[in-house]
Amino acid sequence: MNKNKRLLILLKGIIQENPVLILVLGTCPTLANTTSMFQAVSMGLAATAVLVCSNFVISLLRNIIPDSVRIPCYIVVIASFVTAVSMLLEAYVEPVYSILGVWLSLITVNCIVLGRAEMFARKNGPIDSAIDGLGMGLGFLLALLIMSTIREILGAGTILSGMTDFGIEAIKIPLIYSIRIPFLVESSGGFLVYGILIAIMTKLTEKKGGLKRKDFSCEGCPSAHLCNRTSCSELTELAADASNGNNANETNTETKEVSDNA
Amino acid sequence: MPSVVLCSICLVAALLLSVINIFTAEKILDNQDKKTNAAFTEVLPGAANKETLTITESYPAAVTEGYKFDNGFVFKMSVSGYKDGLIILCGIDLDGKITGVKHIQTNETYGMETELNNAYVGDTIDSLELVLATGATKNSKSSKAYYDAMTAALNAYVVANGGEADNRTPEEKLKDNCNAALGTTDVDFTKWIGATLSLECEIYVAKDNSGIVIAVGDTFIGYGSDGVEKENAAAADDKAKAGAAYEIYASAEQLDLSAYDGIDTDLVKEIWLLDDGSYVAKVEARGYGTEASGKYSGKSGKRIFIEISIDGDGKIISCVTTEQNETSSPKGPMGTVCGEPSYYEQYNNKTSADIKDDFAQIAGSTITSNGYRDAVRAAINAVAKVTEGGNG
Repeated sequence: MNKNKRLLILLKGIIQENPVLILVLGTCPTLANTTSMFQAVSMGLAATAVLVCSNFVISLLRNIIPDSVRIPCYIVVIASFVTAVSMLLEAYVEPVYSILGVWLSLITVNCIVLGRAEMFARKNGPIDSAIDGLGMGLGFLLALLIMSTIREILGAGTILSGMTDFGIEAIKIPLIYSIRIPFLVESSGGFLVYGILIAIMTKLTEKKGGLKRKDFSCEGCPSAHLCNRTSCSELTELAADASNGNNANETNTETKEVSDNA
Repeated sequence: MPSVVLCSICLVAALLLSVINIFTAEKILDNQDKKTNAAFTEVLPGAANKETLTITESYPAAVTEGYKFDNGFVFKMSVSGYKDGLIILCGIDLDGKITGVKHIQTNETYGMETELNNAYVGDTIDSLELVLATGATKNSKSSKAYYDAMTAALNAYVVANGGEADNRTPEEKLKDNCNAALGTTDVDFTKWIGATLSLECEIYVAKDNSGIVIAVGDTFIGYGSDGVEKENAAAADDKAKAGAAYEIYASAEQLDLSAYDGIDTDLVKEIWLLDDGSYVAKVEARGYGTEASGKYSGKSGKRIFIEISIDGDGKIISCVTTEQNETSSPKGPMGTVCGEPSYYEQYNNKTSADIKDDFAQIAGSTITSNGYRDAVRAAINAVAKVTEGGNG
């Protein structure tokens, strides 16, 4: 049962609640790091490492961190892991460090990382949180990989660009290189590709009974800790009852007026 | 309590990061050194045995770092082009020739720096000339920044070899050379563009009428107002060329423009006929400085002074702006661009048919551009009238 639950947590982050294509989080690094597949994979893996570690640690500390300082504490934890990843990359995989540049440090303020810490890690156990981080990270990586494949192949007409430090030169794809669309490598082209992918993903997940926008569980609600209800559907029912009650009173008033006038 | 928790988390995080730093610091420094050395090798192939130079005040201000190797030097310059933060690495061999250029950091237009990196390879301090990137406007700040960086690097090479940096602008160097050749001090010169290109000479006339200076390559030979050559230990060939050029200058005959119909004397002020059948026209263009169209009143009220050398077939040999008082803005030069060689040299080798209405337009300075164009056209037309004959 536990294994099934954890598998669901993992898969949810990859497809059903993909952070980039469904939850629309982490848009900035998505657009900036998808001009080449190598850069996209580098960013995806770095973010995944930070997600797993930060979710795990934040979950471990969830009963210690007071509510009033939880965000600063999360930021300190996330920033520490980002710094650690940055130092390790600069020391041992320098080409990845170079190609990510400032975006490596900006993982600290990536919505996905802080969002999952707030929405999942602070309410669940360390193992589940780590798996959630892994799922979200892999979902982020998958989305980046799809976008970068489209943009690099159709936009630049090449593959394996950005790997000269590994001794690998970019390969120009015959025919495609001559009819490439440079616009796709620009920021505006990135937005276009992103929008199309979101549309496709939304359509696919709707058919398979994906995330129902009309009924979010408390898990995804940022105000859940302030609310004593178990589901927003309770509010919907209460609102419906209240509305019916008002209508009944108005009808009685009209009937009374008619009776009086009669 | 919350602040205690937060501080504790910060302390633990700092501790863990310092542990990671212990393991990675040396490796990171090694990688940075390798990257720097790779950049050095890229601009100075075969660079070995690095020795760091102390950058003193005698070095050009743009030079921030300097290194000496067995086979040359590498200098790092920091300049400002369109934006700040252009950092360039330049390699120079022991003979003073640029071997390679690489930008370390740039905020300039994408792609421009790559083209400019290769533009100066092979240049020395004597052969260095401004190169404009493809598509760059005549007042391109990026191109000028690269040129300034290369000038600084070459001067740094001179200083590193015990010499003195020559921080003079090309105009200042020319003025100093002319004064030295004529034996004068602080006299301004204007370029005379008679038909001396075939002799590979340039003639500069002293504004105080004390004489002329003829430049044959890097040799400057002065002639007093009495036509006597100034003492100068120049090579015989250079002297011969200078002598021939002087003959052309001295034999020039000013024509009476009233003897010809159809010449716009408002624009064309003088025409000189030279022995070889070419002409020199002095024109005064109506730019922004004057009421060109009646709608604008310029600041200076002065025209643009241009000298144009035209052959007997109506083709421009050479065009030079000798004086202009056009406009500039806080963002940079505008009409004043017409005073730069990169602008007026566009008219060289052009005929009237080549000079269309949109020829040599300066961005934001339509009146200056059109006024200049009209004056040049008037000069070509005037020469055509002269060659057709007078009004009998």
